Amino acid sequence: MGGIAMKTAEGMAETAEKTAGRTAETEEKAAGRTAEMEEKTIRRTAEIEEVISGRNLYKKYKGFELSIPKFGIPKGFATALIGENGAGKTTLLNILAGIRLDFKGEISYFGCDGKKTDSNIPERNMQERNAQERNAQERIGYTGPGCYFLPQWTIGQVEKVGELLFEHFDKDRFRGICRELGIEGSRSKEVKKLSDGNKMKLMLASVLARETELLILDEPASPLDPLMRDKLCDMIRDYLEQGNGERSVFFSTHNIADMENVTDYAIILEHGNIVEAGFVENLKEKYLLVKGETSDAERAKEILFSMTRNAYGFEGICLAQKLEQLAGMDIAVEVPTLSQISVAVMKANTKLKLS
Amino acid sequence: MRKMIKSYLVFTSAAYRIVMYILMPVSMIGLIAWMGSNIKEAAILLAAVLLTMAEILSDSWLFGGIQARDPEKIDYLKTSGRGMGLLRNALIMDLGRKFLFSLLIAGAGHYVLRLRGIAFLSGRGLAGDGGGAVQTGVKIGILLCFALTSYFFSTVGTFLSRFGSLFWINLLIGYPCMILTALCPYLILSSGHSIWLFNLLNMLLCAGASVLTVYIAMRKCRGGYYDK
Repeated sequence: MGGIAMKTAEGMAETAEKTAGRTAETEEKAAGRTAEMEEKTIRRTAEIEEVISGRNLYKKYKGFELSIPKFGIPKGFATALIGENGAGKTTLLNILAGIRLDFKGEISYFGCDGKKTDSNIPERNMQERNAQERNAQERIGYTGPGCYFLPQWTIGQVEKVGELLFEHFDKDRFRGICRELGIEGSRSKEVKKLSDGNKMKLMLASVLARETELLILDEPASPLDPLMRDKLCDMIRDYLEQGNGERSVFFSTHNIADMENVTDYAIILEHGNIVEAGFVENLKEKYLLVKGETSDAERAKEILFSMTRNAYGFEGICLAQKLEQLAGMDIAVEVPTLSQISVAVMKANTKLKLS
Repeated sequence: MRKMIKSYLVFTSAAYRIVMYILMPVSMIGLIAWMGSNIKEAAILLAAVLLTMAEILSDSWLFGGIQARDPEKIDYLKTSGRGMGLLRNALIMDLGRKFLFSLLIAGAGHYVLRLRGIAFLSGRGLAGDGGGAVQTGVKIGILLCFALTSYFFSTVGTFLSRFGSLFWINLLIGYPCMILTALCPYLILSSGHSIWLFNLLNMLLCAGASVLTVYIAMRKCRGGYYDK
């Protein structure tokens, strides 16, 4: 079995005295590791500026509540927003992109003072949108699902509308990106006649043709083929690199595995609440992938965050601070992928009845 | 004004411009010239009726579905602080263009009839006009009546059709609007009252329909910010 194999010689026959001693030692080690990790996270978070920060965000729909006491998106990184269907990802992205205004809370863009909103006076929110907010919108590129463009618009019209809507819309860059993505040839084609993948390419071209400092992308990978998803990762990486730490990307995704190589920071949202957030490398220290024998599965189940079984044994995600509790089992420990961490966290917080 | 025209033009595709700015007016005037020798001034009314239908149908290329119940529509416009202004300008300019075209086609149609030697309402007396030869003022009033009626019903038709995003809805709404565009001038002219009184009323109705069209479309689009 690969990884760090752990098997104690004492096994189940250890004396109660030894067990008690080890438990104390384990707890001490775990506490030390947790404190170290927390300190590392705090240090790193303190060092990093936030491109968007929010406080007490609240939005209510029938049967759903988005309630986020505090959150931030680190500047200069690609942040993934992960969560199951209906977790509130699109709602959060829409609020941040400024296309949904009936919410409560405070959002600060690019380090400027936060703007308080109150859903009791939604129409005023629209009128009160000041120059600062408009300026923030100019610096944000947003792509979203649904009818992003009028369906009857042609690609040529999208370009012209972009020129009128945004100060820093580069027509030539737009055409170049369209050409690169293989949609340039159909300039007179209506948006409604484009495939979902091509619609997404068009959205990407329309935001990447602008001078922005933040991209908010709602499910950009979903309609794309694997080749294009790889291209999307390259585009995000290029965008960040060209920004020299001034540009950030915030995207929601269900295709965690495809987007992992471009993800620096992850936020996991469940039922309108952030249940986990952190730099991917920190999350990979916080959570570990554990594989073990079937005979240990029952005991491990109590300790692991999530677990799946197969004919050969079990596999699950364990909090690093609880690893010592698995002592005595024949296990292998590996670094999990972001996808494995996300699924484990989602499983632990879901309301779905999973077997 | 230039900004408003630009805002409007970005909503129009090349195909729309060719059809609506060139082919449609040319064919309407051609129709008046062709039919004028047989049905005389009724050719202008026929053109007005067809113009109503053309405006309602072509709107599906322009603002089709803009008032439909979908809060996540035209997010691209909403991501810019200028988006709603751009849309409002385009909606106003579209109405301006419709009004101008209805006047131009009626005016050009009259001119074409004159060129072909077909006198407008020659030898006919209108109820309330003393039964004699029709005066110039009345002629203008009748042409304006055709144009205003066409504008009013094309505005009402496009307003209603924007609640749906399918072409057949425009078609369905277009037919009654066509019939009403033909019927109203007939009823007005046979009522015996002064044509200018009706034109005044018609203008008020046109203004009301225009305001309503822009207001509701903007309200619906702004509603997307609030899930309305």
